[in-house]
This record gives sequence, C-alpha cells and structure tokens, in this order.
Amino acid sequence: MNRYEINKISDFKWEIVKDDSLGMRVPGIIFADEQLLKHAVDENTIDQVIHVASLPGILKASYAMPDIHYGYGFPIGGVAAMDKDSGVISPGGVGFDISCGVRILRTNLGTGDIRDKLENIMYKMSFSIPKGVGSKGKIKLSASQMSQLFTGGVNWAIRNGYGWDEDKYFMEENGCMEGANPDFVSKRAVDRGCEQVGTLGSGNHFVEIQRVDEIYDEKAASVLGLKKDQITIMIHSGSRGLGHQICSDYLKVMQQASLKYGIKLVDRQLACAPVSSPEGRRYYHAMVCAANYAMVNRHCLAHWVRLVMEEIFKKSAKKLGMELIYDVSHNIAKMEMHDINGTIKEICVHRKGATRAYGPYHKDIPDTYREIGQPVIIPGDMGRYSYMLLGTKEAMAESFGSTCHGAGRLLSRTKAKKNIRGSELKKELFDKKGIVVMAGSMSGLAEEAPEAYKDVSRIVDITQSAGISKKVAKLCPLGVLKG
Amino acid sequence: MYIWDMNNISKKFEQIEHLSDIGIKIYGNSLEQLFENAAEGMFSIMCDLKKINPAVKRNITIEEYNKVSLEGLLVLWLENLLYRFEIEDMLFSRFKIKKFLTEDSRSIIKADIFGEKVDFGKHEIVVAVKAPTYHMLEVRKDKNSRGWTGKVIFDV
Repeated sequence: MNRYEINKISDFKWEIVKDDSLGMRVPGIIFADEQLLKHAVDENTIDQVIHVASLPGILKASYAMPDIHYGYGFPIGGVAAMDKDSGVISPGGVGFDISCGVRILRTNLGTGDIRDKLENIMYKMSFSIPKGVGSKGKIKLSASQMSQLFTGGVNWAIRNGYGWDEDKYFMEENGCMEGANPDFVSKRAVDRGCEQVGTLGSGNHFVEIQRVDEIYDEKAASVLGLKKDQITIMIHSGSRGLGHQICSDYLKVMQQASLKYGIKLVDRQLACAPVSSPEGRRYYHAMVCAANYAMVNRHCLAHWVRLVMEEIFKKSAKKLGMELIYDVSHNIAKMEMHDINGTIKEICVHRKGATRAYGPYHKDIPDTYREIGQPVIIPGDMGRYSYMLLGTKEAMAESFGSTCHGAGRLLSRTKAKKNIRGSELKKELFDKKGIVVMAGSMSGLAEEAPEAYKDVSRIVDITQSAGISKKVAKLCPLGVLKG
Repeated sequence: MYIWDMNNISKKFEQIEHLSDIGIKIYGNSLEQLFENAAEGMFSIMCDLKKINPAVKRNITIEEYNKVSLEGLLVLWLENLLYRFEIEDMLFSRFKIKKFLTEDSRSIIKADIFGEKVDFGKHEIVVAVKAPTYHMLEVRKDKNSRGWTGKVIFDV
C-alpha cells in the first residue's frame, strides 16, 4: 500500500498530490464525498488511481468518478486521457467487455397500460432474448459478415432488417465508430462473437421495464421525451466473447510491447504501448471493431424487445412510441478533441467504468439534444432505481467530458451469495415492490441483489454537486430480465 | 489457516475475495498439477464441479514461440479453456496435462480435458468468467516445500 497525501479541493473533489517517489506523472482527482473517499482509501483503490497516474503521456490527472471501486489494473470508475504522441493506450484501461454500455427506449405507455401485462411481457422476453453464460443467439454470422458488421456498425444491422434507420442518430458515434479494421481481430475472437449478436450475457447485464418515477428538470425531460409515470426500457450489455477475446489477445501483445518500449509497470494488467506505435494502433483498430459489435448487440436486443411488445400490445413498435433515447458506452478508449492548456488537441481518452458526458452544443451530440447536453444513462440496481443525466460544460473542463457509470459494488459476489438467496430475493422484490424478476441463475441473481450495490442516488448526487453531470429523471424498475 | 502438507495436497484451490471480481489461490505439487487445479478452480466459479460429468474427452494444445513467463502461460492456458467452453458449449471438470514444456524460445502444453455439453436442466451456471487477468497474477515455488502456489483474479 502506498503512502500518499490527499488535498480537499471541495466537498466533492479531492486531489491525490503528485508524488514523484510513487512514479506519479500527474496528480489524482477523485470525485467523491468524504465517506466514499474513505471507502476508496480503505479498499486500496487509491493505489490504482496512483498506478494510472504513472503511465506515460497521461494528461492533467488520473481521474476517478464517485462510483470508483477496486478493479484490476485501472480502478473501475477511472478516466485517463493520454497525449496522442507521447502517451499510451492500454487494453486494461478499457476492460474485457469492450464498449459495454447502456441504451434506453421511451414508449408512449403509462404505468396503467402495462400493469396487467407485465408478467406476460417478462415471461415472453425471457424466452425471446438469448441470455446467460455462453448464450448463442438467433443470428449466426460468417467471418465475412462479421467483417461487414465491424466496419458498418449499426448500419450493417439496419441493412439486415434489425432496428430502425433513425436509431443510429441517437447513438454515440451514430452507431459506427470510425477506425475499425477487421484484419486486427483474431479468428478466435470472431469464432466467439459470430453466434452471440443480440445476446444479453450474464453478470450485471439486464433488460429492465421501468417507470419514470421523478423528474428533476422538466424542460430537459421534455426534450428527451420523458414524463412522470411513463414506461421506459433500459438495456445493459456489451461486446460479449468477442470483446473478451480481443482484450485478452492484446493484453498478451502489450506484455511484450511494454518491455519493448521500456514502460515500467506497477501492475501487469496496465500493460500498454504508445498510442502511435504499431501495437497501439492495432489494438485501437481491433477495439473499434468490438465497440461497433457492442452497439449492434444492444441494437439487436432492442429489436427483440420491440417484437415482444408488438406481440403483447398488438400494435407496431412505432405506434407504441418505442424510440431510442440514447445509447452510450462506459468501457472504451476514444480519440477525442479536448482543450489542453488552451489548445484544442486530439487525445486518447480511456473510460473504464465511466460514461462520456459532453456538455451542451458539442458537435457530437444529436441535434435534438444539442441545447441540453448529451444524455447519460446510469443504471442502478434491480430493486431501487436508475437515472437519466446530462453532460455539462463543467465536465468538459473537469473530467475530459466524463461522469460515473453506475452504483459500484458494496459487497463482493462471494459475500452477496452468502447473505442472500436468489429465490427469496425474487419473491421479496415481487411481494414488496411488485417487481417481476426473470433470471437464468438464482445464485447469479443473489450476486446482483440491491444490497450488493451502493445507493446510486448518492453517486449521481455527487456528480451533480461536482458539476460533471445534471439530473433529469429517476427511473424505477417494474420488470427485470437478468442473464 | 491453511496447513501445507507437501506430500498430500488435499486442497487444490480456494476462492479469494475481490470486491468486483473473483480470484482463486491455487496449490499443486508440480507445475502440471498447479495448472490442472487452476482450471478446476476457474470452472468451479461458473458451475458446481460435482455436477459436471467428465464423460467426454477433448485434446488441447498450446504452443507459444515467444518468450512467456509461467504466469503468462497460466493465463494462456485458462484463456484457451474458456475459448473451448464458449465455442463447444462444454463445461469441463477434469484436466490431465500430458506435456508441459517451458523453454526460452518456446512453451508447450498438451492436455486431455474432460467434461460434458452444457445442460441447463442440470448445470446452474452462476456467472460467466470473462477472462483471467494479469492483476495480482502469481506462480511461485513454495520456499519450504516442493510445492507450487499461484493466484489468479478473473473478470466476471
């Protein structure tokens, strides 16, 4: 464990003072209240913030969002921006589930429209949405189709009859990140991904039917098409086995590359290569393939959800108003333009368990939302609530346009399983809160119990107090489908 | 506290606490045994090993011609097993390493692995292991015995 000095900048912002003896090239900045900071200190997560601060070419600071918790290599909730010329790119700074993210759909239904049908909807969804460990989907692709998906992103899906053309305008990067090169994706990764498009996976991934419980900003909510008691649908998933394999493949490459470029590593999971090196570029091109795959995956999951709703309500998804509000990733490295000491420069921003949160009038925000800022979707836990936030101008200056990504774990999976029984939890959520839960594994469900997570409302309140995002609405779960 | 018995290692692995993920500490009389036990430990995170009938045999060969550390080789071995699990829809519970070679210029593992097709009626799969990580990764010879110990944290 390192010895370090912490400076209080405000009630919600703390500085880990740059210490050369710890190899720090920049300070650490933690967005947290005193209690969450103490938690991070006790868990040794600050050490991981310090390790990231030692990476070559890191700019301004090694950041941690309020949902910070102990990860492997990078902390979960970490943001690190790297200089394009002198900085590094690290697969560990993105994670195994490349472009894991969240999307939210609105509907024109109210709570009353869904009450009697909820169990039937969840039952039908549990059959029509492939979920769980190693699940294979309804779509089987050849290697050449996979290449088309990697380069075309959501355009590929739309051409093949999945989802709506207008969906792409409400996705980060319009559903297709530039820079995909299938030549840098291994056969193994393609093998793992070719039957998993449109599958949910396991762990904390979910589909939730939600109710808008509270509106904090009426004007912004109306721009997002949200009002109290409206039904929304949230989907959380990522790039499945494809992303896991790409990360594994390049972690191996980066073990060698770190030696080749003389980069000292405190933790081998931080293995990296210069952004501009052949190894760094190859990883980036492969990672973009996984990011496009992840967006297509969520897009196809939304397509299955629309089909179930059409069947239940005997109306088209268009008539049900099932439009995409937004889709955003929280595990990614991106080349972005940011202000570095008064000069706008292209840099490489790693967000590992952190969400892009661009402020109003940024050119990469859909026209509809340009005046209010980028929508940010923060999933909570299955028993309490999730949030819709917006990016802010302050986030651009304070955190490279980034905010939190979720609640953050409070109990380890082992502890959660010891304390909670999945079947009892399912019954309790239904009896006490009327939440219908469908899950592939009862032990898996116990690991995801509300008690295993921090209260996400505290996390989002801190992001608002720190100025890096703004609350718009609170969403409560009515139906939960877990992998 | 765990008591080391160098002649009879009854404990093959144990799960270790990690807030967001799951780790295992592994024991073995030899490197081969350590790797076999690590494989059992990884599959035990996903499913109760007792429920996986080792009825079907598969072969696995790992050949690496770059210099790779023992730790790196352990990660490769576990990754290869995860790949087979996902591609073949098979859970494995018994592992027999037949060839284990580590030299400067090459590393080879050849093994027979035993398991069965996933049957959701029989196998409750708790959580997917996404990958073994390099974080806190460790393979070392125990100073006081002939045995080996190791540590792996998995992303789940």
